Amino acid sequence: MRIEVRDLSVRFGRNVAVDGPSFTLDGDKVYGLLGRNGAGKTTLLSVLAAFRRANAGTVRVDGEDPFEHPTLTRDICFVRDRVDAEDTDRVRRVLQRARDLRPYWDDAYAAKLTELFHLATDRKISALSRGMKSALAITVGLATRAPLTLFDEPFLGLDAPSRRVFYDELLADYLAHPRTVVLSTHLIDEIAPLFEEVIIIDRGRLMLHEETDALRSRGATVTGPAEAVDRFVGDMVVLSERRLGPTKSVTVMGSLGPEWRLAAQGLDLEIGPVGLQDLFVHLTREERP
Amino acid sequence: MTTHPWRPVRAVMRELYTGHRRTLQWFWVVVAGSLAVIGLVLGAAGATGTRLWPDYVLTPNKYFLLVLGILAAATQLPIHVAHGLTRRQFAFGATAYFGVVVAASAAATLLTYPLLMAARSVGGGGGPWLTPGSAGSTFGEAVASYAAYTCGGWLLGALFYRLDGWRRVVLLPVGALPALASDFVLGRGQTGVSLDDLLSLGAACHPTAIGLCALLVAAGSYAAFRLVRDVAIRKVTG
Repeated sequence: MRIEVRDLSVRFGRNVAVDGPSFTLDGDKVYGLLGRNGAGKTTLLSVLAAFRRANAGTVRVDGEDPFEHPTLTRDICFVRDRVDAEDTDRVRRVLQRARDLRPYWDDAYAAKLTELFHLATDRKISALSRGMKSALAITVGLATRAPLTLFDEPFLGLDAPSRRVFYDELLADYLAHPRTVVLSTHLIDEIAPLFEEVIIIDRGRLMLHEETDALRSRGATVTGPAEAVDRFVGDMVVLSERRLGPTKSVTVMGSLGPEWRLAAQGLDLEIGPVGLQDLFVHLTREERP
Repeated sequence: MTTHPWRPVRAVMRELYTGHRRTLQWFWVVVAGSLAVIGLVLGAAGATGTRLWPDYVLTPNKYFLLVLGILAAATQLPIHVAHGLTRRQFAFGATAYFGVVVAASAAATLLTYPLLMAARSVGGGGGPWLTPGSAGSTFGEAVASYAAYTCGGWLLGALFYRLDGWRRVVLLPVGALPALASDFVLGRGQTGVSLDDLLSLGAACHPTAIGLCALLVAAGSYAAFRLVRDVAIRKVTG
C-alpha cells in the first residue's frame, strides 16, 4: 500500500507532536521508523492507522484518507506493545475476535505463532507478563496479514529468543505474503537487516528518509590494529569506538572513496558499512542543543 | 475490497453478544433466582401486592444496562476500531445490538412475573395476575427505561473516553441526563416527583412518558455519536 504524508501536524495542547513531515512510501517493503523518545513516532503511526485525526496536513493510503474509511481501515493493522483487548479476555478470545473481524486472518498461522511464543490460550490478558502481552500483540499483528501493518515498539518485555522468533517470522511471512510493514523500534541494530528503507523523525520533523544501503554508506567502520586505525581516522568525525585488546573498531561519518580503501588495505585495515544505530545516535544527537 | 454496508454492523453485534453472553446469562439467573426466593417469602408471609415486582426486576436491569453502555464506549469502541472497524460502524452496530438487548430484557422482565406468582403460590400466597393491558404497558415502560439507561451509559462512557481531567467530571450530570430524565417522566425516580405529578396527564401520561423517553434516547445517542465519531483511540489494557 502506498502511503503519502504531506505537511502533517498533530498537536496536544501547546505541544507539537508531529511537525509537518512530508514523505512517500511506495509500499510492499519493510520500513524502519526511527526516532528518539518523544520524537512523534507513535503519533505518526496513530494517524496512519486512523487511530487519531491530524490537526493539519494529509495522509493518503492508496490515494485515500484512511480516517473513518469504511473499507480501508480493515486493511490496516496497528500493533502496539500491548494487545487491544479487555484485561478479562482470554488469549483465545482475542484470537477469535481477530478471526471474526479481520478479512485476511490466518488461523493456522496464529496457532503456529502461539506455539512459537509459548502462549497459553486459556490465560487471561491480566495474567500475562509484559513480554507475553507483546507476544500476543505480535501474533495478532502477523496473523492479521493486513496489507499495511504498523508495529510500534511491539517487543517491549520480550526476551531475546522471542525477539529472534519475531524477526524470523516477520521476514518469512513478509516474503511469503508481501505487504507494507512500518516498524518503529529502539532496538535498531537487532532488526536493521530487515529494513529496506529508513525514516528518521526528530522532534516531530522528518530528518531523513533513505534506502537503508544508501544510509549506511554515509559512514564506515574501520577495524584493525589500534595504532593504524587512529592514524587512518585522523580528523574524521568519529561516531563510536570499540576496543578489544590490540584491535580497535571505529565508526566514522562520511563515505570512504576508492583512494581511502586503497590506503586502508596498505595499513591492513578492514572497512565495513556503518551500523545503523551508530548513525542514528549521531544524527539525532547533533541536532540537539 | 468492497463490503456490504450491513456486514460490519452484524460483525459488531456478534462480537458484542459473544462478549456479553455469559454476563447476560448470569445476570438473569441471579435475577430469576432472587425473585423466586422473594416470591416464596412473600407467599409464606401472605402478601398479596405486586408493587415490589417491577422494582426487583426493573431497577437492577436498568443499572446493569447502564454499565454495559459505559463499557461499550470505554472499552469495546477502541477494541473494535483497533480491529479495523470505523467508529461509525461500531456506533451503528452497538445501537442495533443494544436495541435487541433492550427488547429482550423487557420481554424477560415480563417473564419474571409468572415466576414471582408461581413462587408465591408455592409459598402459600396468591395475588393478582397481569392483564394483557398491564403487561403491554409494563413492557413499554421497561423498553423506555432500559433504552434510556443504556443510552445514558453509552453517553457517560463516551464523555469519559473523549474528555480528560475536570471536563468529564463537570459534564457527568449531562451524561446521566437520559437516565435521570427517564426516571422522572416514567415516575420511577428517587425524588418522588414525576411528570404526571406536575402536569396531571392522566391516561395520556404513559404514552407521553414513553414518547419523551424515545426523544431522550435519540438526543443522547446523537450526542454520544458526536463525541466518539472522531475520538482518538488509546490503549485498552493495562
